[in-house]
Amino acid sequence: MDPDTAADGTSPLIHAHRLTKSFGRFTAVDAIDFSVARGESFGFLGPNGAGKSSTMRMIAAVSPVTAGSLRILGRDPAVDGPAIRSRLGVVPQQDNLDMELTVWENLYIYGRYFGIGRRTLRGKIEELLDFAQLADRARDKVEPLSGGMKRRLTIARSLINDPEILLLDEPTTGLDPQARHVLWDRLYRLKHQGVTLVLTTHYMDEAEQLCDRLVVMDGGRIAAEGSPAELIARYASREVAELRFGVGQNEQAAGQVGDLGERVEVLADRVLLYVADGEKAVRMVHERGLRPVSSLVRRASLEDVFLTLTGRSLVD
Amino acid sequence: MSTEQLTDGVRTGHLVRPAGGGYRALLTASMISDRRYLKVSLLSQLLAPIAYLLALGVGLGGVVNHNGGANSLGTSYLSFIAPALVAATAIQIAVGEATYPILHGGFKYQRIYFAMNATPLTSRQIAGWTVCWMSVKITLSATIYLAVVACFGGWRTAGALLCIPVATIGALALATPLAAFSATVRDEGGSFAGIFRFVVMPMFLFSGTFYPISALPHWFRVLAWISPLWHATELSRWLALGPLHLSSGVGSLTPGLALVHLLFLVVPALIGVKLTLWRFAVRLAE
Repeated sequence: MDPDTAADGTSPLIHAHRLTKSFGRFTAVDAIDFSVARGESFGFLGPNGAGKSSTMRMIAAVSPVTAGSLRILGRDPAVDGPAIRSRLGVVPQQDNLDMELTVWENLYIYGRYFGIGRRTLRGKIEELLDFAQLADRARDKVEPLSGGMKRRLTIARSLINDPEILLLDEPTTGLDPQARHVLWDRLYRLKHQGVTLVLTTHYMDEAEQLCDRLVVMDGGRIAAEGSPAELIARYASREVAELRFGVGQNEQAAGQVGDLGERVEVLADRVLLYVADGEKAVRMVHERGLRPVSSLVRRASLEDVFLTLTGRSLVD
Repeated sequence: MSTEQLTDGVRTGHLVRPAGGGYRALLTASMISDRRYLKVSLLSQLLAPIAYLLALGVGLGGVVNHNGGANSLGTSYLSFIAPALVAATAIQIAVGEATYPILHGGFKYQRIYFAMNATPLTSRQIAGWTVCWMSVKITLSATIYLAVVACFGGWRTAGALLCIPVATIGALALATPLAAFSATVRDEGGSFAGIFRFVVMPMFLFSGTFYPISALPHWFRVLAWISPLWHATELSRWLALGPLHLSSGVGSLTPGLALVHLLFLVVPALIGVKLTLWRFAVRLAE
C-alpha cells in the first residue's frame, strides 16, 4: 500500500505505540501511546523535563526512536525521514532563525530547502508575511526584531511548505501577554483552516485555548488523556476556592475545612478546596469561625488536573 | 487540510519535493548568506597577501637576497616563500571556517543546522555541504593569493597554478577533523582560541614556510612532519619551483616522496570528512 494513502481521513496522522526515548541511562520518554487524527489540535501538557520536547523531536523525524513504534503520515521516520519532513512544519522551542539575514531571506532560503520553485516561493512569502504581520519588516534583518516578531517569523517559516502537520514546541514561552494573544490568534486561524496542530506547553491557559485533546505528561509517562473539559470534569471539581490563611497556618486550617469539598490541596502559600460551589464553601469556612487573610473562587483548570495527578504544580 | 489550504493564495504543497532542494538549495543559501560579507572579505583577502609579500617578500626578502640568500636558494626569497604562504593562508582561513561558524552559528546559538534539519535536508547533506562550501572559499582565497604573488613577480612556472588545489587539500587536512570537533563540543571555553595560538601559529612558524626545516635541530623537525602545512609547503614548492631544477635543491622531490606528502594531506582530510558526517548526525539527532 502506498504510505501516502494510508494517511487519509480514517487512519491517524501520527500513531505512537510504546514510544520510548532514552539518552544513555536516562529515559526521557517511557513507552507512551497516543495518536493524532487529521484536523485535530493535540497537546502535550506537562512541566519542564516531562519528555514533551523529546517526543516532539521524534515526531519531527529528526531524533531516532529508541524503542516502540512511531508512524507519521503512515511512514516510519527511520526510513522516510526526509519525505516525512517535507510535509511537516516545525516551530522549535528556541527560535533558530538566521539572525544575519533579512526576514524575507529567511523565508526564501527555507522554502528552497524544501525544493519549492523560485516563482511559487515569492508568492508564498508575500502571503506568509501578511499572515505573520511582518510585511513591512520583510527587508529588515531578523536580529533587532522583538521576541514576538521572531516567533511569528518562525511560525511563518514553518508554513512555507503548506505542512499537513504543524509541530509547535512551547510556542509562546518567554513572550509577553500581548504577544502571546497575537500568536494564539494566528494559531487559532490555522486550526480553523484545518491544519493539524501538535503542541507542547506548560501553560494550562494555552492548552485550554488551543487543544481539542491533550495528554498530561509527567516523568516521561502519560498521566491522563482527554479534552480539556473532560480532564477537568474527571480530575477536578467544577470550582476551586483558594484560601490564604497566612504563613505557617495553611496546613492546620486545611484540616478544619477539608470536609467541605471533594478534595483539599495544601500549597506553600494557600489551601485549595475543590468544590461544586465555591462561594458557598467560602461562606461555610467563615461560619466555622475561620478567617482566611484572603479568599478567591475560580473555575477549575488544567492546572488543578495536573496537581491532582501528580501532586505538583506545572510552573515551579 | 487535504484541499483547503492556509488561504486562497499560492499553493506550494504539491510543489514541495519529498527529497527537498538538496545541494542546489544549499548553494543558494550559502550565496545569500555570504554575499553581505563579499566586499569586506575580498578586500581583506587582497590586503593580507599584499601586506605579507611586502613585509616578508620585499622587505625581509631584500635583506636575505642581498646577503646571498637568493644565490644559496637558487631563486628569490619571495618566490621561495610565496607557495608556502598560499598554503599557510589557506589553513588559517579554513580553521576560522571550521570553528566558530559551526559551533556557534550551526549548533549552539543560532542553531541554523537544526532549522535546516527540520526540512527534508539530511544531516549528511548539511555536513557535506559545510565541507564543500568551506572548500570553495579556501580555493577562492588561494586563487586570489596566487594572483597577488604573480603581481609581485613571485610566479616562476606554470606549475604554481597547482598550488591552489594543494593549498585546499592541505587546509582540509586540518579543517575537516576540526569541523568534527566543533560539532562535538558543548562549550568551547577558549579551546578555539587555543587552537589558533598553539596549533596554527606554531605550524606557521615551524613548517618550512620561511626557511627550509633543515635549519632546525633534528628533534624539532618532528613537529614539521606532523604538520599538514609542511607537507603542503613541500608539495607546493615542488610544483612551483621543481621544474626549474635548482642546484640548491629547493623544490626538488622524488615522485615517491611527493606522493607521501600528498597522502599525508588526503588521508586526514578524508578521515575528517567521515568524522564530520558522523558528528553532525549525532548532534542533530539529539
